[in-house]
Amino acid sequence: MSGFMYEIKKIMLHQKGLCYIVLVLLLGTIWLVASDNPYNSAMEQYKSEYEWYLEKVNGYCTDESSLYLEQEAERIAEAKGKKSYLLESYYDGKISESEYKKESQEIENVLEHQNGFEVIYQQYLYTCENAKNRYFLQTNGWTGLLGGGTLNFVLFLGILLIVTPVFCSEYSCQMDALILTSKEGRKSSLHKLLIVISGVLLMCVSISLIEYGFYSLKYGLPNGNYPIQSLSYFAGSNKNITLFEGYVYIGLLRLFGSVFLAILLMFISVLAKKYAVTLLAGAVSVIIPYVGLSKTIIYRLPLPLPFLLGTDFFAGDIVLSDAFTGDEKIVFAEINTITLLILFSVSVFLCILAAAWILRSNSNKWQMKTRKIRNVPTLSIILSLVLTMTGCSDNGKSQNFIYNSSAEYDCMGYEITQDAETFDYYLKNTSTGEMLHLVRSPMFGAFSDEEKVCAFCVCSPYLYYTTSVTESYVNRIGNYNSSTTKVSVIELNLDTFEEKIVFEQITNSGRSLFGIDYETGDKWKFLEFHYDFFINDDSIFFIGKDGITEVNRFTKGITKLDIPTSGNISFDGENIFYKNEQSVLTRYHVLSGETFTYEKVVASDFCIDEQSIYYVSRTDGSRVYSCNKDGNNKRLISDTPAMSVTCDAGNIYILAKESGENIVLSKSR
Amino acid sequence: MTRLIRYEFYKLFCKRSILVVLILFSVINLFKINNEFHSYSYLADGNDSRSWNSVYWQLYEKYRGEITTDKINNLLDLYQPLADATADMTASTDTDDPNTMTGNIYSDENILEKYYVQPMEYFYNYRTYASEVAKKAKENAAFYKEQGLNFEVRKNSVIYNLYSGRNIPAFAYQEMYNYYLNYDFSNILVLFLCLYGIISTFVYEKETQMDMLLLTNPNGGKKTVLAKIVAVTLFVISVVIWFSVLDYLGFSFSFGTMEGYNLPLYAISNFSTAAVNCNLWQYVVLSAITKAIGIWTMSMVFLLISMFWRNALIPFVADFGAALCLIITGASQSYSSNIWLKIINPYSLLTNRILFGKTEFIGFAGYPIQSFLAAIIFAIIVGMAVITVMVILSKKNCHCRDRRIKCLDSCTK
Repeated sequence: MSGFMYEIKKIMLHQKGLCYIVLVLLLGTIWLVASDNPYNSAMEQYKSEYEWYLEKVNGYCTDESSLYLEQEAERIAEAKGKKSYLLESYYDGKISESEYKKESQEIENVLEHQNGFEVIYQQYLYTCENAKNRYFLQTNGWTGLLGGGTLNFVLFLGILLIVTPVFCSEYSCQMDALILTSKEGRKSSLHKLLIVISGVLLMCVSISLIEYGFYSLKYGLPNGNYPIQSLSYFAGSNKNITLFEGYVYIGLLRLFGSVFLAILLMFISVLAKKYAVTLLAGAVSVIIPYVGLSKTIIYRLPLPLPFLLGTDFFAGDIVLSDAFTGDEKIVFAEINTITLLILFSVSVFLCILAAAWILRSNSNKWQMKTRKIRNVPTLSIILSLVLTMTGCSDNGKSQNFIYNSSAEYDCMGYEITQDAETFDYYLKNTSTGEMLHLVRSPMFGAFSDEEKVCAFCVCSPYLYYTTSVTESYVNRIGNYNSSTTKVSVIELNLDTFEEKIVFEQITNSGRSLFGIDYETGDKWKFLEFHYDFFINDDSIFFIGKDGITEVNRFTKGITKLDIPTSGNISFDGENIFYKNEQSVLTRYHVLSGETFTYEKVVASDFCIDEQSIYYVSRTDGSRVYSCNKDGNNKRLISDTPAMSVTCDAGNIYILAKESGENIVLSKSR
Repeated sequence: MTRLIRYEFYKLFCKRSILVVLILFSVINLFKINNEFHSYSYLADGNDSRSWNSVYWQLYEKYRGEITTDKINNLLDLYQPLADATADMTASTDTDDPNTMTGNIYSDENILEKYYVQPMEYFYNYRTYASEVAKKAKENAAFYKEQGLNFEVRKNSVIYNLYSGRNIPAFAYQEMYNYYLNYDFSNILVLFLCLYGIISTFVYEKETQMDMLLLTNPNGGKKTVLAKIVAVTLFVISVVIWFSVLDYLGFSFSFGTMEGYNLPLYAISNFSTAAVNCNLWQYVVLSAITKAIGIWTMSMVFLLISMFWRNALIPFVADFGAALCLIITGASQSYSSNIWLKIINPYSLLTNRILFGKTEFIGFAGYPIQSFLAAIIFAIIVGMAVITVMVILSKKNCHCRDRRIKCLDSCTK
């Protein structure tokens, strides 16, 4: 067996190099799958609708596609107006059923893909800003693959584990001197260098290919020949490259960064000859600048870190406006190609020097001179670490219940009131008149206007409410992710007045950890805009203007329900009742996802209780009817034309259409 | 034993490489602190007579000290005309207006609003807000007493005692403390230094097979392990004290002042619901002690991990990975209302504003314990448990005559 093969066996098997490579690839893949969120969740949610429009405008934003989108926007706006008018006309008997069906079919054709249109229109607004290099395409895959630019910690730790023992193991048992006395010994360091670099390259290429495969399978990576500026992350970039080229270049830079780190580690291990020093220097050379320096400085340092990150070499200037003074501040200055080439050249030169030093220090000739320069290792490490810092000065218990979104809250003898001056919410005991603070924490809202109650839901004996709390620490640009908004769902037991938080989530997509900014996607943004919610044992349903979002209480999985929220929404613990776009009462079973339409119940308003549905009939002069939950046993409740109907445990409340009078009907009657 | 500890301390930590790393990290830390000032403070605009820095300190003499009606009226007389003039955004945008303090009317309005009106308004109103909290807590305590919820009664009583009487009587500069209390970078440096320092504690002797030899010594075995643990404790405490002092002095020098040290902790708006009633300088000391406990606990875990390995590679990467996990989970849970998650993670003790910044409680046997206290107790218990495990797992020395004979017998057999 040749010396090279022995070295491979030693590094890959005895020092467990192969095991670490497999572990890095495995953990890296698990992390990738577990942590990925679509950058634009609407694009993913309405994928087929979005693709329908994308087929028509894909690519360069031409005058024709611009005109088409503008006309489509008008058509959709018109269709929405016409749809409600048509419905009103039909229910008022102004048009026949056949006329209604014919015309509504045409409207439905226009509105068929409206959710996707919202997405493409947002993209259109983005491409309009610079139509020359911004194209229409599906961005989630490419943004996931190229954007972000955060350090791959698994890869970093893997490199530390594989590279550090290569020389340190020889030094710890003083085998290094012995190796040099053998015939093949002098080549040993060259073999080590080649094996380590090959191993690191293998690891990096595999990770790049895994990432490509993952994003390609999950979102698709079409139109790789489009300009990189088509992604908002690279909006201001002046580099004339395509998306695929961007992937290749970033991949190559990361490849070089990993090799650079490996050579740096080997260089330090040869100098220091100790595990601890090598590991510390390697970790510090990456983590300290990553945490302590701004991106602008990081990407101008001849260290492995900028190459390991890679992405921002192709990003443009990021300019933010100071919210307080209005001044503009460059938080990231673009790296032009010349700077990149200079930095790359300097880094390559440093790598060659380090490699040369490693080879020289492992030759017999060098051994003779070693005693004279014993302090060089320490000095070199200090020098390399000083380089790092030079930039610093520069700059479950809920039971089935009845929920009606339009109804007043029946809180076990309490009434929710809001103080007109302080805007604080109170629970008013309806029998004694005693007022209690709804939020039991005395500190809530006392010192900040950014702590507020958003919505309520009663599920006897619990009252649930949502709060929104915004906290801001260092409120200045450059640290823009220091502001966070947290939405919580709090359970208040109305028997004991014990409070418990059943759900909470930070809604911001931009986060910051030790000054490292990163994106988590916009999946929780909807929480900021919810105005109502209801809950069962498994899920919380947040109602916003754009629909209902179901959040699993245990897995925090999100499902967007295709339910219009323009009218009343009711929930009996298993089914959501709502009016569909034709005002026909519809039931959605939350577990099975099945939808049932009450064909005969066309309602302008409705409400439910445990047994019955009460509704204002849209087709029968706005009279109020009741029926069972299966739609049978239809009964007239009131022949007074009504605007709305609500109910509680004992009564039905009707708002008369003409007189505006509130009519109370007892259920027992 | 004292001598043994001293020897271990000298052997493990009085090394040139540790000194070099300490000096290097200290320099990096000072650069970073200076960078914080220049990046975030609006007062880092030089010493020109019209700079915000100069204008602020000129006005400061006028408004510092006890907040009086005269001072408030005087400030409002200065600020209100500027606010009115700039409200419709039609005022002159000249940057050399001789009738202004900073050369521009908007800039005048901004500096007064940010550095005087907003903080003074907060200081002045704090008493009212705190008394509201105390009142609500008192009402809650009475209400829960009727409900028979003793824990809630006790908790609200603590809140009442904590908030009643809170007051910020004097106005002082507090910007430096705001950034100081939000500064975390030195924690990373401390972690790295401690990791490097303690990783060799057991490994060094194993690499040279000195561990076997030590077992033949009267002071070897468990005694040596105990001495090492005490030496590591001393090292960790020294490092934390050094960096805490360095942070404070660094911020004071960068911002050019120590003004405001006598302000109560809750004078910093992010600490409006602070868990303790103390001054800022007292909090600086309290924070250093809490950090030391947090780092000590993490160091003991690092030490335990390093006990099982013959070289520094796996323990370093494992400790580094564990520290990263604690930091990432700790940071992501810092906004969480799940107090237990904060208590069990020693990272909370490092960035202790997570604990001291909010009045939060956990229940223990029906009694409310403040989160910071629970975290400190938990960290000490974990640290002591780890020490016990280390002592149990460490080899006994063979100095004892009977044991030596048994050893020799077994060897000859």
